[in-house]
This record gives sequence, structure tokens and C-alpha cells, in this order.
Amino acid sequence: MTVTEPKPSYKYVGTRPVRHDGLEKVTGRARFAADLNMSGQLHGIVVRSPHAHARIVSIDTSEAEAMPGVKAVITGDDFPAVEPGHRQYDMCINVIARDKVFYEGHALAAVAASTRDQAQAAAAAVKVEYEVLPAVLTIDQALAADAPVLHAHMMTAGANPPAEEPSNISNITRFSGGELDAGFAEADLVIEREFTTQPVHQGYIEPHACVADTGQDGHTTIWCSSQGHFNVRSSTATLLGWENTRIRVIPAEIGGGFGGKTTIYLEPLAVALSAKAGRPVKMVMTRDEVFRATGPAPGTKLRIKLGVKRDGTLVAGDAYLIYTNGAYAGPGGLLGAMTVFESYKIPNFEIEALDVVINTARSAAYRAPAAPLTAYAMETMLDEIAEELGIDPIDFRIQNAVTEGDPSTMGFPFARIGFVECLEAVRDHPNYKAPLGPNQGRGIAAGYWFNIGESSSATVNLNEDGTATVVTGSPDIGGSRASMALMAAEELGIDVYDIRPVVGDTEAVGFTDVTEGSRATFATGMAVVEACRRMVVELRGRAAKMMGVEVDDIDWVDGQAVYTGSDGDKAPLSVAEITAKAKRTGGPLTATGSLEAHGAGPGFAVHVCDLEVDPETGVVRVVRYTASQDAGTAIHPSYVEGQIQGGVAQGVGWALNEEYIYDSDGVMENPSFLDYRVPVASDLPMIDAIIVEVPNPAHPYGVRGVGETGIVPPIPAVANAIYGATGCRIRDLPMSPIRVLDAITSNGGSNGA
Amino acid sequence: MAVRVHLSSNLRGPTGGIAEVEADGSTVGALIDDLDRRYPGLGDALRAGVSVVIDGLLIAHPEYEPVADGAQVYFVPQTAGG
Repeated sequence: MTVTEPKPSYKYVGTRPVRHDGLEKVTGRARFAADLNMSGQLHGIVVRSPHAHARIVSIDTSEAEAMPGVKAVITGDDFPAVEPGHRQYDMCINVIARDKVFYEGHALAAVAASTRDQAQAAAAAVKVEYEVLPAVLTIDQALAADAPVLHAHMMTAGANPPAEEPSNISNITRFSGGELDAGFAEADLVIEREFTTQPVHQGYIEPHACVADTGQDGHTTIWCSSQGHFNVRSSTATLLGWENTRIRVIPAEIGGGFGGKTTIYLEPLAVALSAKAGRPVKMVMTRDEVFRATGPAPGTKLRIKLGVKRDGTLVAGDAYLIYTNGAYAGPGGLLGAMTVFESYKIPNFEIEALDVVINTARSAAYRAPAAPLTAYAMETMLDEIAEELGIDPIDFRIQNAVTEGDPSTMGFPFARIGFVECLEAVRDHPNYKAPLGPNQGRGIAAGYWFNIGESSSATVNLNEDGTATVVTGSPDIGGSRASMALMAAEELGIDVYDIRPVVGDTEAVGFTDVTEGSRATFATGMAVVEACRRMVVELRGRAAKMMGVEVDDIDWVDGQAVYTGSDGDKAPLSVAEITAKAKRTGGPLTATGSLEAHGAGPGFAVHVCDLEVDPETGVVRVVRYTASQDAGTAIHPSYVEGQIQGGVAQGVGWALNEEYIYDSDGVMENPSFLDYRVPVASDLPMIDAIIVEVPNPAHPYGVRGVGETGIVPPIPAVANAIYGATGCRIRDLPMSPIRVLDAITSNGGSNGA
Repeated sequence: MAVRVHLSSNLRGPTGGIAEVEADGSTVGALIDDLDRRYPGLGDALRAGVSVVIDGLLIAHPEYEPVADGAQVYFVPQTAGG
């Protein structure tokens, strides 16, 4: 760990207790959504489109409804109509199609039956008549002058002049600063490169699953795994046209989300089926469904031009970015535009980013959405420039890195950030100078992510024996229970193992936004701290009553109420002594914290990848990997390291193997983990994680979110390392064996230009 | 109360490309109202998915956020995450 600034001495924060939910998870006792079963439950199966683009002429469910065991069949007609302009129009028509299907796998009906086999048979018996439409499957097809338009209402937002005809461009974002032409005129070296990337999936191990039980009173309970059960409640209510109060969502454990479970797919269908059948309905996606119908991260075409002076000063940058967001509008281009130049001081720049719709599944967030792809382009180009100028790649980045006070792409000055510290931490690590073997190369790359705050709530309940329960509304997707317990332990002075961190359902804790933007330990942690500080105020008051003194004469010191007045000595009172007499001093001890968290501190990371390329097969093997990241303050260092290592693993997979492959009709050809290759443990070495701590001044313990930034640098780090090993610059993802081999053989190992 | 307002470049259409403007208001919402009077159409742009940065703090939903005299307020696009 690299600590850059003096910080308070903490008793619990920064320690590594065994996570409170660890034993349940390693012994298999933890209940994930698919583990839940209810008496009398039915099994729901979704009917999905075999076509990438088609008009639904008719749906005949009569045969399916008459089949054995079938209790309910629903279609889009069972949900309130939605029109363009509805605030969640895309989500609504994605969960269940209405008049058109927009991708292969698009849900258009669902069946509930007594057994899964019966439901599958009935789903196959639903007769759908389609008018098949030409499918738009690539960015080039979407932008062609004669391209079929997916959405007749889609007028390009941000177009100048305003769009007068619908198109497949949902949004155009432009940022600029300085004088671009003057900047390039100042440059001694100008390079321009183009890149392409393919959609990839988040690859969470647990498929989407839920159980819904709708009662005769019109209220429903949903058990599901998600990154935010309050979001499940509100989105489900929107789709059904219900009030939120009719829906209770109980979070199950989550087997990975990475952004892909910030939206919903099954829950409204399960509720509607349950309401129709009068029985609980369980729905579990297959892996095939997960791939075809959920969450790919966008594919892209990127073109970037950079200008630099001979002394290594970046002076100009021009970026043209196109992101596909699947079949609906999405933020890929916007986020790409906001990240592409964000890490470096580039005084003259222009960025134009397009968001384009095509006939593939609706994109969902994936750790630091859009940023890994702009980093791929930017960081490989910086590598080229550093080599051309004969400057060490880390020194080159330090020379141009943003620091406190430098303007961001959006204009505001950065607050305290730790980019340079991350660069220095990697430069000073022994791995950076470790010798390389034959056919091995080393690649450096950096990454940036904003992080966000949003709303969180926490409740702290002190038990009669002096232990505590901390209830929050953030699902534990990466060890946040332990983080919450550690911060509560620090505040209250209670041993971390005497605190039980609990994820409360939508009726057990205050509203909490979906876990995205690396916000749980930052924002929900702030809510926990706020609740604990209120609890300490209450504890001091109760202790004052017990001692018969003024509350102002009571301090809270290391878990005890300590008398500081002048009326003689009084023995300190522990939490347990105070809670034991709670009935006589005012009743149960409960405190809450609810807030909108401001000041999420940006995260930076710097990675060094060492890999070996088999020159005969093109197979790449990562042999050493070193990753630094600014965590602000690491509440639980092991889980910070875990987030860094997980980001690296996913990023390496994205770099080397992962891609959606479609046939000419838009049918996905690799919807299984056999054909869609994610890294497994044996593919990777131990990843050396270096935690840099540049505290975020907006958080009581200095926390910055750590969940996303770690996936940003791996793609360019791998690409730069492949260049180091082979002399080939590969600018198309994935850098699969065949593509690496092709680069080596086609270019004689010297495709550096 | 005069405040310097900085607009990210994608928000400058209604100002004719001007990046930094002056506005009056004691809250971000009041600033937006004043800016809309000065630059018709800017209010709609600033109410649609825009965050602010005030004194280094990123604030996602700033409508009622107080603004001190002489503050520097930066309007920027709202971010998301995974």
C-alpha cells in the first residue's frame, strides 16, 4: 500500500477482518435468487424473438394456454401502453416487446406452468406471426444513408442544426476547448489512429433470477438479485402502472453484476404472471438467455488524433467516437466523450461522440461504462508517442497527467486526485524493472473513472447486549457489508465482529439508489457514519442520565461514555452498560442516516502488464500483472485489492478473447461460456495490487469508489505489451490468437506504424 | 448575488458559445431560472440531466443547493456508472 498523506490512526478502518457474509458464501448456505422456492410456486419461461428486427403481426396464445400445467400466459397487451416520451419508454418495451422486436432474444410473451418443462413446452407453442424487417447490425449499416430506421420517433439529440428526420443516431455529444488548429500547428508530432471494438458481456456467474408472489390484495413481494432493489421496485411499478407501495423487493445475494444488474428484465413478467395465476412464479434465465437478451457493453469505432511537442507536451487532441448501445438510446458516446481526454492536460481539443442504435440487445452498464474503450485508443497512442519521442512511458504520462486544479474536459478544476501518485507507485515497484524473457513484452496504461454519489440510507440498531446491527439499502456486490461494519465499528467503538451488517429490503430501510458508479462504500458508507454519529449523540445523552450529569460533560472515547466534568470521578460506561438500561433511559437505541452524497472523488489507476506471445499460435499468456489504484482510503484493503484484481481479470478477457459474434441475420452465434471465452483462474497470474491512498476530502474517511476504475487500463496495457512482445500494434478487439497471429505473419512483426 | 457560471462546451448553444457567464441566485435552481431569462432555452438544457461542481464538490441533483456569493459553479453532464 502506498500512503501519500498523513491520516488519522484508525482502530478498525484499514484492517482486514473476515467478511461477515463469508462463511455463508463459502459453505453454500447463502441464498441466491435461484435458490429460493415457495410452496405452490409456478415456473415462468419467456418467449423470445428469433429475429433481430421484425414487426409483430399477431401473437396466438390459445394453444399454449390449453397445455398441461399452464396457469398463465402474458404478452405486451397485459401491461399498460407506453408511448415515446414516457420517461422509461425504452426499459418498458425492452422488458416486453409491444409492436416490434428489436433484437434476437427480445422478450414478447411469457408463460407460467407447474413445472419448468411444461412452461418451456407451452412457450414453444405460442404462435407469433412476424413481418421480418431488415436488420441493422453494425455501426456502418446504422449510419448508411439508406439504413432502415429502428425507431420512427428517434430524432438525434444534440444535433446542430436540430434533426428534422428520424435516424439511428440517438445522441451527439460535443466537447471542445482551446483552438484545435492552433494546437496541432504547435505540435512537432501528430498521429491519427482508428480502432474498432465489439460488444462484450459483463459475464456475471449468476444468471438473472427472481420469484414473485402476488396476493389477492394486489400487493406483491419479489425476491431477486440485483444491484439495487429500490430500482427493481420503481421500474417494476412503472412497467405495471402500479404504485411503489404495492411492491416489496427483498434482495437475495448477488452472484456478480458489474453494472449489468442495474436494470430489470424478469421481475415485471414474474409479477404479472403471478397476478394472473394467483400463485408465486419463479423465473431463472439460462446462460443462453443472459447472453442474448441482457447487458452487453457497447461496441465502438474510434478515431483519435493527437499532437505533441518534441519535449513531450501534449498540445492537441481530436476524437471522433461512435458507440453502439444496442437497440435503444444509451450513454456510451457521452461517457466516452467525458473520459477520452480526461486524464491528461490537453489545452486544445475537440470531441464528437455519436450514440447509435442497432438490432442487438440493449446495452447495460459495465464497470466504468465506455471508459475502457477510449482508454484502449488513447493509451496505446500515448505509448506510440512516448516511444517515438524516446521518453519512458510513465514519465511521459507524469509530464501530462492532470493534477489538482487542472481543468477537466467539462471545464471544472479537479479537486485532490491521485493520478501522479498511481504512476509513481508503479514506476517504483520492482515489477516495473523485472527482466522479460523471450517473446515477452511489457505494457503500461492508465485509466480514469468519475465515480458517483447519489442517495443512500442506513439504520443502526443497538441490541440489548451492546452489539449492533447496521442495516443499509445497498446490495453487497463486492464486500460492502464488511466496509459498513468497519466504519460503524470505528464510529461507535464496538468490535467489528460485534456488528452485524444487513442488507435491508425496500420496507426495512430508507430509499437507496442502485449500486453503480462505485458508490456503495462511498455514499452508503457516509449514511452509516451519519447514523452512527447520531447514535453517539444519543449514547452520550443516555450515559448522562445514568451518571446524573450534563450531556456536555460526556465525551465518547473508544466505545465508552467518559465523564469530563469536574464533579469527581465517574466510571466510564460501555455500550453494553448503556444498552442494558435502555428501557429505563428512554427506550431502544436506534439511529438513521439518509443523505444525497456529494463529492464522489474520481478514481485513477495505472497498470503494467507483462505477457508472452506464442509466435506460432498467437496465444497470449499474461505472466505478471501489477496494478495501482487510488482508493482514497481503503476501508478494507483486501476487498479493495479484490476489486482491482477483478477489474484486471475482466479487462484482460475483454482484451484477448471476448466478443459477441452474430450471423448475417443478427443471431448470436456464441451464447455460452464454451464459445464466449472469459478468463478463468488458471489463465491469470497473481495480480499485484498496489493501493494508493490520496484521501477524498468529501468523505469522512477519505473514501473513493474502487469498483470500476480497475477495468479501464487492462485493454491498452495488454495491447501495449503485445506490441512490446511482437512489434505489432493491434487496433481491433479482441486481440484473439488468430488476430495476433495474423498481425505477426502479415506484418513481419513490425507493424508499428 | 452574482455568481460565475461555467458551462461545459456541450451546453453552450443558447449562449452562442460563451463558456463563462454571470448569473444571480442563491440556489442552483435560482441560477438556472436567471440564466434562462438571459439565454432563452438554457434552462431546459440545465435541468435535463446536468450536475454541478461547486468548490470541488460534484453534486448530482443540485436544484436546491445553496450558492455563496462569488462562488464558481460548473454545469457538467450527469454521469452514470456500472
